[in-house]
Amino acid sequence: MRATLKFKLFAIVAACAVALIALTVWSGIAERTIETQVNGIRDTYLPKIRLRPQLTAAFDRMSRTIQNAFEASDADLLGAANAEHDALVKIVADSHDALTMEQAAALRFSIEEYYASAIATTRRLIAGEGGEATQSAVQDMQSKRERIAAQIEQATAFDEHALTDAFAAAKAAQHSATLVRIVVGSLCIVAVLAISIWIGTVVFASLGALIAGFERFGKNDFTTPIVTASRDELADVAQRANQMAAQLQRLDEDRANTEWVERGLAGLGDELRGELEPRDVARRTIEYLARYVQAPVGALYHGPASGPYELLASYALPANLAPASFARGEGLVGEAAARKSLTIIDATAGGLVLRSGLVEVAPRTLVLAPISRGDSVSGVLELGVIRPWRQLDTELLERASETIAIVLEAANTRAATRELLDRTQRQAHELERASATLEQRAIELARASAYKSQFLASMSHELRTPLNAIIGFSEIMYNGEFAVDPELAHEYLGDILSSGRHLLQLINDVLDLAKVEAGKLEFHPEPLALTRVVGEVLAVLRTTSAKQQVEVTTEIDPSVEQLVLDPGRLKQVLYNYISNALKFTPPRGRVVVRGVSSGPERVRIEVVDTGSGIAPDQIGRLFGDFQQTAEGAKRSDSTGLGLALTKRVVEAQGGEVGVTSKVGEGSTFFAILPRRSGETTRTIAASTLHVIQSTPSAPTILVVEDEPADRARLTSALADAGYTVESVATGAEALARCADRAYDAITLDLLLPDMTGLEVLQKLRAGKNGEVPVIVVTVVAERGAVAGFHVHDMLAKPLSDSALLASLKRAGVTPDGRTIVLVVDDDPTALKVMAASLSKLGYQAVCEADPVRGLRAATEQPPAAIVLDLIMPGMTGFEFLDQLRTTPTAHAVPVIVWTSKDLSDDERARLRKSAHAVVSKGNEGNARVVAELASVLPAKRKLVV
Amino acid sequence: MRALACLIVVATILPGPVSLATSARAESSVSVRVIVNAKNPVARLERRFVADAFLKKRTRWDDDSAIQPVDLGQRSSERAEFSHEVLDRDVSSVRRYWAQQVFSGRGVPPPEVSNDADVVRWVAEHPGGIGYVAAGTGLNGVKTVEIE
Repeated sequence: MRATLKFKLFAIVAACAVALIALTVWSGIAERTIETQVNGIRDTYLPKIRLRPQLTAAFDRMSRTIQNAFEASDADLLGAANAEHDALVKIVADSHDALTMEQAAALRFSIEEYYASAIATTRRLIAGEGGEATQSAVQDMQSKRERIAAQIEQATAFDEHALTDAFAAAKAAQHSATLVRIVVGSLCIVAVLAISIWIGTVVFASLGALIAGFERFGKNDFTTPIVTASRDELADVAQRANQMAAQLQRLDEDRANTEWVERGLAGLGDELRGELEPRDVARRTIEYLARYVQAPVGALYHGPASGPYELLASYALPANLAPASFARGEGLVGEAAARKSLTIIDATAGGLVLRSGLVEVAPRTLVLAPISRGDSVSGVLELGVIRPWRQLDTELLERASETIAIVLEAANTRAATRELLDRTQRQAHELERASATLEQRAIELARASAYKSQFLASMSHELRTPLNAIIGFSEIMYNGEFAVDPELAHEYLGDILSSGRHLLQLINDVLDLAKVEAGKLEFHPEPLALTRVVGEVLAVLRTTSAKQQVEVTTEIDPSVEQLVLDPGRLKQVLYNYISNALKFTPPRGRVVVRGVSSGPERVRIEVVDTGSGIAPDQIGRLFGDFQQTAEGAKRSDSTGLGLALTKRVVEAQGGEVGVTSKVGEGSTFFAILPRRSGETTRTIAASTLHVIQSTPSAPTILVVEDEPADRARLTSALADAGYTVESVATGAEALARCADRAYDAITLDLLLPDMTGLEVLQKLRAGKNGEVPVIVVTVVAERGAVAGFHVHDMLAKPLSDSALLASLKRAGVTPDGRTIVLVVDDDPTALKVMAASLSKLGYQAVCEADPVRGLRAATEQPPAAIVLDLIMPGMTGFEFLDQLRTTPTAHAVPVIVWTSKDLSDDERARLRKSAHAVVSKGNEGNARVVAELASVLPAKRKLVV
Repeated sequence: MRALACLIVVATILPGPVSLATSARAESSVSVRVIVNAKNPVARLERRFVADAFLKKRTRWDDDSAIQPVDLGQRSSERAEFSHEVLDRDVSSVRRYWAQQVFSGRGVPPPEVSNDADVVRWVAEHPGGIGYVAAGTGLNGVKTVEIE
């Protein structure tokens, strides 16, 4: 039978009930017994106890009544005693419960006797009888009375011991009953408790098992079912719970499986987050999946849908084991791609063995999962696993497939995009660099501007110094203020000449510097022999060295003998260094010119002297503009620009300069130059011939000049002077022209791109122009360079037009007519003075008082120059200038403003743009105007003189 | 009891004649006279003795003969006077005393006679008799005792 919970509860209740009933019954019985006993005591003793006072009282009342009658001596009162007697008798009769029949009868008899005796005696006493008889009657009565008392006493007496015993018995019975009750009650309680505890233990054990079980289930531990201690409803509950747990366990496993897959996918998603390269995507994918499915080895092949599939990444794959690519359908990989479904192969027999540091393992199963999106397969994922392959793993791979495909696709797209972006970025960088360069350039320009101001200030000072000497000595001699003896005059002329040369050198240097600054310094590198170039320079300086008594030696390393450099610029550098060395080396000193290698690409040229040396604090200033050492500054033949120029010239070719010196021992100046710099040859234009036709009778000048700016300048200067000009840029062309015709004069640049000027000179002398005056124009300011050649004159670049024209005049080559200068001024006196001054100088002055007419004249026949007043009726000089500059014919005519007006800054600025010079009337006089004219016009007669 | 009575009688006899007249009280107001048998030697009695004899607290004369007191009826003035003077309580009180005595079996009151003459006669007839009568009553066979 099943001990159901209900039954157990019923058992407890029943046990309780039985115990209660037993206790109650037993109690009832005990109560009853005790009650009987007590009732017995009561029935036995109570009537007697009650009867005694009743009887005594009734008897006393009766006696009292008789006594009262005696006291009152009234026999009639004895009738009342009769009633009392009856009452007493009645009491006795009614006391059958207390008295036995015998006792009652005896008592009744005694009462009757006493009553009769008392009545009789009392009557006698009332009657006054006394005496013996009465006395005995009284005694008799008294004895009877005593007998009654004794009878009452006897009849109502009871045994106190008996009573005590009875009570003791009752009490004992009660005690035993109580004892039994306690014992029975205790037994019942113990029994009920025992039953309850037993049942409770069983039930609670089951409940405990249930609770523990539910807790386990709550913690997702479904492995242990609930086992109850009893077979009751709790067992049913446990069974249901176990069924539920089994169900939950199945669900949990399902969920865990789903979760495993989802987590795997999520993890893969995390792993592939970010902008990754396709190779990174593949590597992360295969590493992640191999770890996740516990595959010791894996590989990922990727490629277009049509194949081939290349090995993009692998995991723990032994080197040289996997082919780099598979075509679609080729091998297992290709086959898996073609089938588009997961392939699982038992690989135990495959023989693939993976080695760790400790063991070798062979994958049991090979899994090939195509990476596909829709129908398009973009790769194959290959995994080798040791543990059994599960359906779950398949699900994971199948679901991961599309993600991987998409990410790979995205990575590919991104890589392409990134490449584009990189290109754009590079372009942006280049733009940025260009912008930075521009900025740098702007800064340099600003710096250059500041430098220029400083430079101009220095230069004006430097220029003024020799001019001072020239003008001063000239004035002394010209004015003839005192008699000049020929010796002194010769000395003065020598000073003037040296100052003039110094000035010329200065100007040449300045112009060179200006060119460098303007970036117009051009280099024409050509193969040369260093020894020869040094020799040429030393030849030029031979006089100086001889005068200084300094021995000059050359030490040229053969490895640097052959160089490709601009020889002119190289000579310039050498000339500067060597002439400097000579200047500062005392007699019997030594100067060494040394050419050594400075790396395979460069040559180091040193000029070492045994001069005074340079103090360290002055070395830094050496290569600055107009910076001279204290010693150098003392010398008149030092411009302070030589080294600055050298530095620029060298640096412009990508080289560097420097000096090391020790005071008292000497200095070493060096220049490091590239062995081959820039282009070696210049592109020669097909033809550079340019002809400006003047009047037909005008003499024709051939200008041989490769520098376009110089050529244009020479050409226009000559054309302005009235010559017909032909210009060419190359020696070959020049020779070709010279072969065609004879020229009245030739200006020849010594530095030409195709050949040297001297070569040209040599060749043209052999042709039609054998005797033509040739004016050599060159930056190489060396008189000796043309030694031995037949030249008319040698002019240093930059060339002043007047010097050229003067040279031509000296050669007797002059254009026809006189130069017309238009003078526009409303003041006739001014016109007259100016006309006189100009004609004295050989100009033809055309005077015009009306500015409007003057303007027309200038337009119709452009003069060589215009001298213009500002304040005029009809038209101001400003208006005149504005209109003049817009005319097609006369817009380039130089104008010298000659005015008495005080000019404001604005006006000065305006004039600066359109006029060549502004001269104040009165203050500076005509001479200044003439000087200005001379600067813009070729001088005429005066220079001829 | 008998012995006691004898003692009382002896006691009564031994002190000699006691005159009632010597009793101050009797002298002043008593109009009743205590009488005894003429042969009774006692001439004077203490009032106390008389009271005890009548209340039967003393039952013997000094010569050990029984004292036999006799009373007048309860309504007689002499009795009232005697009770008052000698017993020092009223008649009903004496009666109550006797009721207690009688119904406790200890004794009976002295017999009562209706007049003084009967008292005299009764005393004369009883040797140990003692009673009281109004003054002037013929004392035949009795004698008056002085109460002191």
